Amino acid sequence: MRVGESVRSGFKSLLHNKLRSFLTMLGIVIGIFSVIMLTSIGEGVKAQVTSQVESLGANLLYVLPGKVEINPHKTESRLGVRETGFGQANNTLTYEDVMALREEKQLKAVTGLYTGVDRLDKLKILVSTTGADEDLKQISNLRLRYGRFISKADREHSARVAVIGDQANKEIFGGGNSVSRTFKLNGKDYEVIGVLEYKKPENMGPRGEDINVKIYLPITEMLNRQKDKNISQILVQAKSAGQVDSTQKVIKAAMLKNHGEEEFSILKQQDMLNAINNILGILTAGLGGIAAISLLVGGIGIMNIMLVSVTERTREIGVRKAIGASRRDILIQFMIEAVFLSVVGGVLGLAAGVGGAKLLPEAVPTIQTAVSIPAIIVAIVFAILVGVFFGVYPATKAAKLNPIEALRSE
Amino acid sequence: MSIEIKNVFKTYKNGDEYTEVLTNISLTIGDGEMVAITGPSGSGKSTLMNIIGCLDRPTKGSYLLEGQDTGGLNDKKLAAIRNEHIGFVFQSFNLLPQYTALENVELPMLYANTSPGVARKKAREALITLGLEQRIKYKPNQLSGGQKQRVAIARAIVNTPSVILADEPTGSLDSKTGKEVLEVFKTLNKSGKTVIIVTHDPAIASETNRAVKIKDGVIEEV
Ligand SMILES: Nc1ncnc2c1ncn2[C@@H]1O[C@H](COP(=O)(O)OP(=O)(O)OP(=O)(O)O)[C@@H](O)[C@H]1O
Ligand SMILES: [Mg+2]
Repeated sequence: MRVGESVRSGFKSLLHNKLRSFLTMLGIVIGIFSVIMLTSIGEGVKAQVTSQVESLGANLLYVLPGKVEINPHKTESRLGVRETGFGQANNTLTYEDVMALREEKQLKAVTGLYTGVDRLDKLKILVSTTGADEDLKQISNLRLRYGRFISKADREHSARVAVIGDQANKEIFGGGNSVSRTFKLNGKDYEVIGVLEYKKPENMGPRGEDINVKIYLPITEMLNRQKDKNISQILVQAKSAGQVDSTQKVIKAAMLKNHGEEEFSILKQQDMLNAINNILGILTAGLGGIAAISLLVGGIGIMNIMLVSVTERTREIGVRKAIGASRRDILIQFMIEAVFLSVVGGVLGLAAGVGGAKLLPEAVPTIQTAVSIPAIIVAIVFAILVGVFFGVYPATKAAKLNPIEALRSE
Repeated sequence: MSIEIKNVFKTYKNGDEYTEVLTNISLTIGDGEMVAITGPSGSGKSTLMNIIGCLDRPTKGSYLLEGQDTGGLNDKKLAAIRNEHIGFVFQSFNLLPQYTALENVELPMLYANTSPGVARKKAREALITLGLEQRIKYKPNQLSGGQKQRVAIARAIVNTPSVILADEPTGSLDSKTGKEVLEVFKTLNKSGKTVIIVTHDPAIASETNRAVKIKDGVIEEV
């Protein structure tokens, strides 16, 4: 019950000085609020990126030209330079690789991707065109509004056919069912065999592609027009997420038959997610850390007010000691006041932070937030620790007061 | 409870300066006595009271309470003695301003681990005994001086201590109210409690069955 009295006296004196208590709490409120807000935004970005990458399916593998080390091994020497870089290396992927991979029975689907630029005669502009195999439909989960996707026959015959996105359809044909209609690229006729369903831009692919402006052509048709037969990348779908690792080995073995050395990279989606999450995690922690500094400032505010309070209530402390309070009782009383200030401040800040994190995406639709439970726990624990840490000194000071001098004080 | 002060010295030290307040004081007060302590201002009456009340320790000499030497007791034990066996009444009342009369009186019991329900009941009874039935929910700044001192007395007696220490309890009161308060102390003494009152008022000193005087650090019976 002694603690009960300490709790009661803590409450009483805080209520006695409502405005002062509130202002003292404000430091903690703002600190916790910013920690929660910033980590929520960080987590929101992380969740958004993750879901975008995962929307392609967890069993995807990317074969890229050049050697990419996504988790570089530490080398002894700092002089070393990576031989080939991502993208800038000589493009070493060829359609031969796609054909070789197609022979592998363990792969569920394989497509090469070739990104080109062609002249769209009707609008007199250059457009980005993508060469693909028939498997892309399954790999990228493409849905057609009209017609069909590029078929095996289209690919084998390098047919001049095209599958176009919703926006492309609108701009070229003014919308509607454009199957069998033709448009000219570089002066040659291409027949539309399919129109893709409209997809909201927020469901865009991992590289920020807008599927609605796509123009897909058989990859063979595009390669026939080029001097070098190199392709941009190969997408492989494993039979299941569990087979991704073994599939990676199969791809590597098959590729090495065509290439003397490992001048290509096979990335699993997990690798990319890990890399992205690493960066975003560091960023979130950094932001949270900066916000935590304001918590520290709040803690100093609590200490300041507690010291003032101890001085003001010297006489009260003397009276309490005279009627039987021990040093410990006084210590607990002032500790409870400090912790109470920080915890109530923390809870208010938490409520404001969670509320803010929920409301922010409605006010600013481009920002997504995800309130993270660990961040909440850390914030609350931190608030309590701030109260304890900054309360100890004033409370010890109060407990150590000589009762005689305390009673003598005016 | 018997009080035995033997060859007590109290010296205050401020930097290099020493103030000798009590020099070789010995005083024995038996169980159930009512004693007045008088003496000029600054003579060390309050200092002696604080030592008797276990709020302060003598610089030299010993203080036995009910035969037990208090010199070797730690803070926690002394706090327990103040809580259970001693009731303080001050000239300036020393009520906690943020608490009501009832809450002020409950306080010693809560430090004694009494359950809140029992504490409330006993505090109410003590206030009624002192004629404050109508003022139970009042805060100190809503009470008159005499009422405040009666709340303070209720707080001092609620834990049924055997020793009541009153340091100029009537000093802030008019003579009529002072008399009333003195009557309360007399009644308490009749019920068996040891009462020690510090006072400047000869009229009060004459009402007690024993009076001692401190002057120049020395004590003498009057
Ligand atoms: N902390 C201290 N340092 C130095 N001197 C002190 C200290 N506390 C008290 N004194 C001195 O001790 C002396 C006795 O003080 P005390 O309060 O006991 O007097 P008193 O007899 O109660 O006087 P009064 O009747 O005015 O209340 C005073 O001269 C005072 O100045
Ligand atoms: Mg005095």
